[in-house]
Amino acid sequence: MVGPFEDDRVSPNFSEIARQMLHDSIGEVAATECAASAASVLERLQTRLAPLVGAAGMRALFARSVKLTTTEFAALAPLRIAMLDEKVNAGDSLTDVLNSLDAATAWAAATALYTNFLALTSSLIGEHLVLLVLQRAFPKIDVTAKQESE
Amino acid sequence: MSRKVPIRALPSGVPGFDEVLGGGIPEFSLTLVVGGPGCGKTTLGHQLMFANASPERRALFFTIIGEPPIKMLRYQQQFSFFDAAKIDDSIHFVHLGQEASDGGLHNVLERIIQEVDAFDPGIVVVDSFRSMMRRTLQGPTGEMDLQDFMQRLALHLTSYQATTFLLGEYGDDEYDSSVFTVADGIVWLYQAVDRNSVVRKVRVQKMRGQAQIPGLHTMRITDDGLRLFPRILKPELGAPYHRPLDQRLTTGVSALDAMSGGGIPRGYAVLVAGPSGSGKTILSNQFILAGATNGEPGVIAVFEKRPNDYLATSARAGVLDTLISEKKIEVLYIRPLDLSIDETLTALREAVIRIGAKRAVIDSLSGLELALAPTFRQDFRESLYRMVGALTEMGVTVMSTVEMPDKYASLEFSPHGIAFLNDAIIIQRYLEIDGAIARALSVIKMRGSDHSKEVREYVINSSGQIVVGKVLNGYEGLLTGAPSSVEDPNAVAGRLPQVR
Repeated sequence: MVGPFEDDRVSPNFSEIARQMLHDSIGEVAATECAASAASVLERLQTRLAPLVGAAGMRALFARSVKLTTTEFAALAPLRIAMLDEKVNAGDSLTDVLNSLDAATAWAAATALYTNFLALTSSLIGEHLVLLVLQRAFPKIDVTAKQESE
Repeated sequence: MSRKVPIRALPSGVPGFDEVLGGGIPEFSLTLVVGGPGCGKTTLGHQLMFANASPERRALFFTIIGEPPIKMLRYQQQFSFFDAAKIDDSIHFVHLGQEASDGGLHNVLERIIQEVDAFDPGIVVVDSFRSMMRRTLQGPTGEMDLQDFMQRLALHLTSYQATTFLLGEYGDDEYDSSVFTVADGIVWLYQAVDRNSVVRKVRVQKMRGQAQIPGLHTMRITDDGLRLFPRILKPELGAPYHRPLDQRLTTGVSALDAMSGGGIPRGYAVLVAGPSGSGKTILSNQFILAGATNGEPGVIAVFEKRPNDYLATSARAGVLDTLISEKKIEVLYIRPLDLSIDETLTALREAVIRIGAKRAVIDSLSGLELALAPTFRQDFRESLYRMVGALTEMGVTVMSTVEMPDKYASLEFSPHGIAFLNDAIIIQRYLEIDGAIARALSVIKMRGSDHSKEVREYVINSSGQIVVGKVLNGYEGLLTGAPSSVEDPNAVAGRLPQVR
């Protein structure tokens, strides 16, 4: 695969990519749609990423991302607590928590959550591999968005 | 039409490994890759997989218990063989941790069969099966369960035409008959510790249907993955190299050529022995330059000086530089930590092939011995025998230097008794004559050829070149280091002017 990932001097814009992932098939209307979108994103990521990092690895990455996001969005604290129980389904808990928030907060929190998830996973297995996975999980989004140069 | 079923050999993707295996990995075989922690099993598994995975021959990599997949992915992609583009298209990773926790061998086998059926791979890697076995063996029917698992796994994967690798942690030479018997191949990876050195080694204990090279082979792990240095190199294809005595090479010193019966016979192994500072490197330098300037490229393997220092101190540094840039001479500096003879030989052979070398210098065997890991120093004579033999078999004339302190009470030509390995021996000695240190050389041996028996004085002239003078007539007891003169009017007149 060539092209999009050749310039590795500038990090990908994970925030923009996360936004695109969430809005891939569902429009920005209400918190309920945000919750469904976020759960769908999680499922699609699990399908592609779990074979690489393992089911347990996927859950650990997601739980860590939730922890990182709660520093900015304290409203996600119930999700962080839920993730401590391995029997709890992550997608269901994510849906419940986002549904309890107003639309603007839900979208912002979900975007921040997946931004952190992408950054964390990239720090461990590399941006190149992560972007390859995203391209296959979300064929319609543009994963080439780069952070603006300083 | 042959009555035998053809068994195709798949490339291992590991330099040197196909040779050790006896041609490659037999298609549809089941091979165990075993060894202690950190010996390179997972890296070898990945290297084998990436070398063979393609859209036409897809690969499944199963992880069970052991290194977390995310860690494995992080470290394995540091190697150059890791091609991320193959993932998903040609390679699937499957983690079986849950199946191993829930139902043990039975669930693991079921999942493996499901995945193999769905993905139809040509390559299957399971990392690691041993961790799962430990739990199974604790049960009352553990041994039988394990045998049953291995039998069914081997049967299923073979029927799906998959070439399979099971990676497992075993202690050095630990034996497990229920598993080892089923396997078509068993590859051991070791980390041999000797004093402060650690040398990685590989042994192919078994490979059905092929004649593997027995013994322990040195291995290194670099940014490109594993690389093997086979212990015994197969003979070059074609007729054995003959060494006709009428084809002589100049040493670069005309008088020495005359002493040698007309020069060094092509394909000979020559040993130049002498004390420190006697001019061994200078002589070897003249030998290489004489060849390279006459259409015979040469390789110099340096063990005591760095190449830049070697070139800087050469009397004809400018000529040497030019010949190097023209690829008529190649200088090798082989000094990785814990060097092996096989690694040295591989580097030399590759350089010989690369520039079509006809001459080689090893300067010096003393330095080479110090560069070797302690475990290889013990077999130094045997190792030299293989190394020199392999080079001369390629038609290369090899000149090796070795430091021999002057002994005036005995006559020795080499340390470790390696003189007999060489076809020709030239010794250099210091003498004390008329209150000054002089140098003398003799041709002690020239197999199959007449040669001078004289002891001749030589000097290193102002150009840094060896010049051989006349026979030191008029002296007796030269080999004692302090000869006494006899009455001979020619003795003093025949001596060379002393420069150094």
